[in-house]
Amino acid sequence: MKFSVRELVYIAIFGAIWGALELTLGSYMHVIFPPLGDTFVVGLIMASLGVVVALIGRLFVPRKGSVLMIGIVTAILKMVSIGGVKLGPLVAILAESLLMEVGLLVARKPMRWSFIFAGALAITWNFFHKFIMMWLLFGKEVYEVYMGMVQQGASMLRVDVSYAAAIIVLLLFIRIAAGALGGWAAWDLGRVVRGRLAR
Amino acid sequence: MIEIEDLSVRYNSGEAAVERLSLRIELGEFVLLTGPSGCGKSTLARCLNGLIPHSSDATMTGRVIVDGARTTEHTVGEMATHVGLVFQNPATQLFGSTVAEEVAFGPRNLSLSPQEVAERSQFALAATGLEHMTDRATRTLSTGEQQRLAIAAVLAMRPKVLVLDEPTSNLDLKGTKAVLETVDRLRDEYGLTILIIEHRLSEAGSLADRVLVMNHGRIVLDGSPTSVFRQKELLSQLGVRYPGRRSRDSWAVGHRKEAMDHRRERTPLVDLQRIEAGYESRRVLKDLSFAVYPGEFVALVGDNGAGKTTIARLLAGLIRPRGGRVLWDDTVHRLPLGRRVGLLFQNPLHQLFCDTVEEEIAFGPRNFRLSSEERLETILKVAGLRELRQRNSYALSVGQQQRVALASILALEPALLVLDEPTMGQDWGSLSRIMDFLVELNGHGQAILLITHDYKLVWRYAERILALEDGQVSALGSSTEP
Amino acid sequence: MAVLHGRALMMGDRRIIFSSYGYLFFFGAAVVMAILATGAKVVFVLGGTLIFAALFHREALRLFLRWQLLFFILLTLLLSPFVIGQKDIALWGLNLSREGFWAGLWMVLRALSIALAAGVFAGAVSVSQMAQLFERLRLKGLGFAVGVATNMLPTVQETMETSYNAVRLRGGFRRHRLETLKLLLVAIIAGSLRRGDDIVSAAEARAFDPARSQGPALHGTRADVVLMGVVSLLGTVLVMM
Repeated sequence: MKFSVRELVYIAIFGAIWGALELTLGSYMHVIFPPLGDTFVVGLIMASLGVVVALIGRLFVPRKGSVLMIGIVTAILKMVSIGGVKLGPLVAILAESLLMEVGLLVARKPMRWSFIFAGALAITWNFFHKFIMMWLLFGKEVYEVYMGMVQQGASMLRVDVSYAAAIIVLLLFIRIAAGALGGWAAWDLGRVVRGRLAR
Repeated sequence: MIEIEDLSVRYNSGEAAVERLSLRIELGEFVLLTGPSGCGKSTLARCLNGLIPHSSDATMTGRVIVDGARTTEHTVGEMATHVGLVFQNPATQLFGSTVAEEVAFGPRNLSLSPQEVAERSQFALAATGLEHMTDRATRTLSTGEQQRLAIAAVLAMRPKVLVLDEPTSNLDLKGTKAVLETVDRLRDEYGLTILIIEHRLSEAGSLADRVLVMNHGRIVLDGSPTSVFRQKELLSQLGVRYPGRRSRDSWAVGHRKEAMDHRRERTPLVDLQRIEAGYESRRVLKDLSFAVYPGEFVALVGDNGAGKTTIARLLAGLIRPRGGRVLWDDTVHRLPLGRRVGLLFQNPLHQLFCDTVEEEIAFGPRNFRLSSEERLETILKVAGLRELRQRNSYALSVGQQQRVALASILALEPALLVLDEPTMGQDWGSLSRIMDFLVELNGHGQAILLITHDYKLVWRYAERILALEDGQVSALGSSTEP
Repeated sequence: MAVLHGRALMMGDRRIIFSSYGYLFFFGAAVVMAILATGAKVVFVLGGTLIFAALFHREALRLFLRWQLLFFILLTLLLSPFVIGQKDIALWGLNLSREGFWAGLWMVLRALSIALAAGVFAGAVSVSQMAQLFERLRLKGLGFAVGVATNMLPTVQETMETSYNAVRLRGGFRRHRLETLKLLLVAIIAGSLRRGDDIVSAAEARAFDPARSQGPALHGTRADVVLMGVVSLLGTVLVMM
C-alpha cells in the first residue's frame, strides 16, 4: 500500500479523531443522553461513531487499505494513551477496521450502499467480540460458565432459556442496523464535511 | 543569501498574493517581516523553500534564490538543506513521539547514515538548549518547548537560512521570550540568516537588524527598526501594531499592583468567593476571589497555565468549584446554562456548526425556544453581518468568523460575556475592529470579561485589570510609566 | 538515547537486551502456548511469563492492580464450581464441582498469562517501534502517520472539548440531540482536517517522501535469537508433555 504525504496526513488525522472519540466523548454521553448514561445504547452509539469517522476517512482517502490504516493508527494511539494494554478495545478497533475494509471491497469506488454494508459488517463484530475475547483469554470452558449462568438465571426467574437466545439474536440485529445507519450517516456527513472544506 | 527578483504569486482562485516583489537579504541578517493579515507574508515564506510552486495551487513568476539554490530548480526536500521553515502551530509540525525522534526525522529523510543523523541531532538540540530532553515525549512539552523543538528539528537539516512564520502567535510572554532568545542565539553563535514574520513587533523588533512591512503583496517599508517604527501613521493605516517602548516579560512591569477593592455601591453581577478549582489531581485556582459588576469591562491577564480558561469555564458553569462559591445576582441566578454566561472560545471554527451565518445565529435561540425574526435581524444588524447572512462561515476571514461566533452567543442575551483569548494570531487591524465592537456592546450595558495575555490590548480597552498568578488574582493599577 | 555498552544496550541505567522482534516473538509465543497448554500446564506458561516480566519489564506486573481484571477473575473462580462438571463436594452447605474449580483456575491462569504478555510487549516496545513493525507488513508510511496522530491527538481532543462545550452552551443538547451530535461531529472533523495542509507543508519542508523515507531502523539482537530458541524449545516440550 503506497500513500502520498497528504493521504498519510489524512489517515493520521482520522486516526486521531477516532482515538479522541474513544478517549473523550464517552464521558460526555451521560450529558448528551442522560437517562441512557452507561447503557448498551450509548455503547452502541460510541462504536458506531468510530465506524462513521473511519468511513468518512475513506471519502478523503479513497484507496484500498486506508480504513485499515486508520484503525491501526487508532489502536496504537489508544495503547499509548490509556497507559497500559487493554486487549479488548484494541482487538475491537483492529477487527472493525479490517471488516470495514472487507465490506468496502464490494464496490470499486466509495458508494452509499458499500458504506452501509461496511458499517453493518463492522458493528457485527461488536456482537461477537465478547465471545471471541473470552475464548482467547479464558478458553472454550468459559462458554460453559456463561451458559451455566444463563440457565441458572433463567430458572431463578422462571423464564424459558430459549427467550435468552431470542434476545441475543435480537441484539445482533440491532447491532447490524446500528452499523448500517452508521454507514449511511458517514456517507452524508462526509459530503457535508467536504463541502465545508471546499469553500 | 536571499535574492528575490520580480516575484509574483497568484493562487488558482485568481487572488494575487505577491506582486512584483524584489528583495535582497544578506548573510547573517536578522530581518523582521510584518504587515496586515492577507498581505502575502506567509506566501513569501513558502516561496523561499519551494513549497510554492512545487506543492501548492499557486502560479509563481520571477526568481527566488536562497543560499545559491534556485527554488524552481530544486525540490522542496533539496531546498530544506538550504532554508528551514518553521510554522506557526507546533502541533502541525511535529512528527516524532519523542524529542530525539523528532530531531532525527529530517536528517533520516535525507538518507544520511545513523552516525550523521546522531551528530546533526546533537548539534540541533544543543543549539536550542534542548539536549537534556531527548527522551521526553513531545506531547508532554509546553507549547514554547514544542516550538523550540520545531526549530531544532529544522536546524538538524543544517540550513543556512531560517524562516519563521509567526512562531510566537500561540505563545504567552514567557514562551515568546524563550523562542526569540533561541533564534537570536542562532544568529549570533551559528551565523544563521533569519527572516521572522511577526505581529508582535516589540519583542522581535528589538532583535532585528532590519524591518520589512508588506501590504497587498508588496514591500511598502524597508529599513532599520528605528526608521520603520517612526512611521506611526502609516503603520496605523496598515493595521500594524506600533511597538511599545520596551518589551515586557511580566505583567507587573510598568504597573502598580493594587489591593482588590470590594467596596462598591453596586451589587456584583457575579461574585467568586474563595474559589478552589482544578482538574483531577491538579489544583489550578487557590483561594481565588473577585467580582464583576454590571456593565463593567474587565480584563483578566496571566501566563499560559495560570488558570484563566479554568475561570472562564467556572463562570460558564462547565465545571464546578471544589471549594468556595460562585454567587450570581438574583435575576441571573435562575438562568439556564448558556444564558448566564456567553463564552467565546479562542478559535472561531470550534464554535461554528451551521451552514450559513443566519442559521448559526438562529441556532442558540431555537434550542432555547427564543427564536424570533426580530431577534435575528437585530443581531445581524448590530454585528454588521447583514450582507454576509447567507454566506458559509467557513468561507469568511478569521475576523469575520469571530464576529459570527460572537453574534451567535449574543443572540442568547447572556448576562456576562466572557471572551477567552479571542485575539490570538490576528493582526492589529482585526483586533481593533473586534475590540471596538466590544466597546460598543459595553456601551449598551453588556458586562464583559476579556481573558488574554495581550497586555497592550487590555491597557487600551479595559476599565479594570486583574492579574492571575499562582492561582490567585490581584488588581493591576494604572501605569507607572510616564 | 540508547547506547551500546559491552554487549548490552543501555538506556540510562536500564539494560535493554531484546529488540522489538524479541518482545513480539515472546508475546506471540506466550499467547500460542497459553492456548495450547491444557489443564495444569498453563501454570508453567504463567510462571515463565512472570519470570520474563520480572526480569525485563517490571512495570507490566502492575496488571495485578487492575480491579476490572481482578473482578472478572474472581467471578470466574467463584462461578465455575457451580456451573461446570458434576457437583461432587459439599462446602458450607453448597454443592460444588471439583472439576469446575480446577477448570476455573486454569482459565484464570491462562487469561493472566496472555494479559501479562500483552502488557510486557506494549510496555517494552515504543510507539514508533510498533509502527515500524507494522511497516514491515508493507504498510509504508504508518510510522509517519502514527507520529502525526500522536502529536495531533491533544489538538483534536481540545477541538472536541471546546466544540462540545460551545454547542452545549448554545443549548444544543436541550432538543434535537442526534441532529446536534451530527453538527458537532462535522465541526470536529472539518476543524481537524483544516490543519492537514499545514502538516503536509511541514512534512515536505523536512524532505519527507513516503517512497524513500525510513523510520528508525529495527535490528534484531543476539539475545533475540537465544530467546526464540529457548522459548521454542520449552514450548515444544510443554505441549508434548
